[in-house]
Amino acid sequence: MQQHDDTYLIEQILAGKNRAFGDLVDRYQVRVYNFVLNILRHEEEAHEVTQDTFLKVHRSLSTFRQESKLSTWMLRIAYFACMTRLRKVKPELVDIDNHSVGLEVNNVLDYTERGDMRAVLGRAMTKLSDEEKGVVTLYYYNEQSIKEIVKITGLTDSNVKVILHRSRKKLNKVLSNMGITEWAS
Amino acid sequence: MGIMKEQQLNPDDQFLKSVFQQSAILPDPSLKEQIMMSIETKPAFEYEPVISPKLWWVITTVFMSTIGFLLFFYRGNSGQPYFDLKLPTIDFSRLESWTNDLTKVFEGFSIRLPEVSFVAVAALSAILLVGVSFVISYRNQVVHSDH
Repeated sequence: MQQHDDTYLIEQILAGKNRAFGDLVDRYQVRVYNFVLNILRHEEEAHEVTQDTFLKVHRSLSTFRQESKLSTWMLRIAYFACMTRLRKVKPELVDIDNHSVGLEVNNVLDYTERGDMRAVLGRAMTKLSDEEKGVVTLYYYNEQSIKEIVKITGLTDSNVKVILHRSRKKLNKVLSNMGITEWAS
Repeated sequence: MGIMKEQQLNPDDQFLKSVFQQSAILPDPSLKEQIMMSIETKPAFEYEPVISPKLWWVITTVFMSTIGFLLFFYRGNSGQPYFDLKLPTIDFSRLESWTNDLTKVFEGFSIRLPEVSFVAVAALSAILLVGVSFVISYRNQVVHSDH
């Protein structure tokens, strides 16, 4: 259904209807933004990269052959935009991680009780490499299959599985060290 | 949204999924506005060259053929073309004797270089220059459009 809607939106956009592109932004901006944010860990940079991603999508939509889902194609553009950004400006990207610096074991409960999950995740994500951040976010947040993650990142199937396994262990270790083993949602 | 629906997640995965899902935040409300502004400020139409690369090839071919005809075949009042090429002649009679040294075969090979006027040389150089620069610029265009 979603794919059918995407196809209709793509047709409208290619016909020059900007409003349709606005609908596409509405549909995907949260998913793309949080994906980018989880990799870059910096809200302003994530805002910029998300914006660039959508502009590139708009520019290149006529070359999209619909061999994969639109979301997969957009996440691929976002992923490589993140990697390019990290290569250029990595030392300056400390924004979100700084927010979680004060998150010590003895006040974790306060944070979780206040629902500051972003800070907890931020702390846990500092243990992951950029590639691992991308892969786990695609899997757990964007709910992409291994096959789709392979298409997005260009990694091999077995590589993605290894990264997921390794990242899962790292995240669980950090979270359990912080005393967090389940969320009260 | 495939994998999570397709298979039962183990408790670790479910836990991590809930961490990721619940830590998501909304982007700044200005994000969409900025994206739409950037798109709408793009020119309504992009300029395209009046003469397409294909047509350039045709024009160049016709032009070069005409110049070639004028230089090599057209006989004006003088009755002589600009380039009066004499094709090389090879004396095959030497081949009759297999005992002759192979190198002697080419003794009969001769080329008469034509007398070329300055105008002809200048015209040919100009054609070559334009042709080469066109091919280079066309190739660059193709390379850029591929990306």
